[in-house]
Amino acid sequence: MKLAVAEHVAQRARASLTYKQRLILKLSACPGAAAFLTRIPTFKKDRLTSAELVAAACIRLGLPHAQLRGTVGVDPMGREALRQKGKAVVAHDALKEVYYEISKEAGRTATKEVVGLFGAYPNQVATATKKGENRRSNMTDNFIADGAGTGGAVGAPLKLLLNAEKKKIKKYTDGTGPPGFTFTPLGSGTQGEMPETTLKWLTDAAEAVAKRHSDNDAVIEREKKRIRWRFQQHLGLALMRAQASMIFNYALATTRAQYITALPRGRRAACSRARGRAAGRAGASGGRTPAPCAGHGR
Amino acid sequence: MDKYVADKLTRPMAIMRTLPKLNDAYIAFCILRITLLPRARYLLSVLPPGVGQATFTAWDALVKTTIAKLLGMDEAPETAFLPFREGGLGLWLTADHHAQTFLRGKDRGLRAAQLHFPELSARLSAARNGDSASAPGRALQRARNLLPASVASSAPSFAELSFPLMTRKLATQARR
Repeated sequence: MKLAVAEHVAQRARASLTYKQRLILKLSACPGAAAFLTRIPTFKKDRLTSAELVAAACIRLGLPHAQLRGTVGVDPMGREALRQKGKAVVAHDALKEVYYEISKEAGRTATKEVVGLFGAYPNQVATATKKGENRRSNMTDNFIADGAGTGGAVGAPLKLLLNAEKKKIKKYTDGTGPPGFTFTPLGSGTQGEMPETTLKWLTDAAEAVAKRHSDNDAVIEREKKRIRWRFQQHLGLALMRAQASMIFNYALATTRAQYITALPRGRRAACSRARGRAAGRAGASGGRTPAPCAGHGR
Repeated sequence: MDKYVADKLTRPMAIMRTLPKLNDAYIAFCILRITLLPRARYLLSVLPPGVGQATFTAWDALVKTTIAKLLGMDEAPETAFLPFREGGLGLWLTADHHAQTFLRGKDRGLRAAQLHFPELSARLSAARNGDSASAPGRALQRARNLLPASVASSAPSFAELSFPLMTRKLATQARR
């Protein structure tokens, strides 16, 4: 089969990549993954800061992050940073806010917490099948399908996204629900790429917005795509901003931990409460040490 | 002709050199992708491969340096110069796309000429097919020979090259 030049160039570039980098490239090519790069930065909320752009480009191209490169024992690709327990909810909540805004714009009744509406939460059956895992604290696992982390096949990157949806259904619903309501799992990839159900939900929301502005079918059809693309841009930007902050915080935390453990033993002891008390007892100044971080203990 | 290319690209290149000095890398990236890179499009579509080679090489080198500086890297990764639908950053280099863009530009021009001058239709269609008797035909033939064997000689549009999947799908549907 004859290729376009762009595909030929892509084949050439792919030849020098590792398996995981090729997988990330496949995910980057999914619909909606590049939306955050196409937003015209008219307002401050529509753009990334310089550091966020660098982090986003590293995530997109599967390159090591500059902040994590020098730290020993840390994956420079940022996989640990994006999947750390308790912190990963940052990206989840950022997306939740944007989805909430989209729902409001589409004129839908939206609540941010729907716990228990479609059955017991977390789903007892699903929890029982995965013993030893705290599903409550690990919410983002169900939201973000990190291609590099899950080790999916290069040939079928979209399967990872479908897994994100399936996990969400498994967690939040048990087959029952109030009449008139349907549960739509809003899954998303690391760069804002989205599976079919989520894209359909977004299309419906965009159509609702377009119908408010025009009665002409052709105009609605054209505007629907434009509005959906805007929604995808907002989702991608929010997700990238959140993930960049997670990487920066993780880099800071790991560097700080490394620095503190590398301090000489005597320095740490001088800052500790016990050493302060000991110094106070031994010194001539009546129980107080001049050190700025001496303990306040009595 | 080389001087013409150099004149046309001098100002965009001067602007590109100032981009790393901007405070906001995202805005600099948008300026590069949306306003500066398209400056070379028209030149690529009207000039056969080989013309203005020195300027285009300098242009590519400058694009690579600029994007490396914006992303804080030692050198620009090759994957950055892929279209969005291939997982890149939507940037492109003239070296990769010159022959195919020229083919497309010439093909469009000759097709438009066929519509306007039906009496020349036979000669123009011969030129479109790479007839070696005419100058445009010979230029097209040379451009086709420059393409790698696996690449189709009918070129995609730049919208297809650098814009997202949705646009590409629409363009494909429109062609059908």
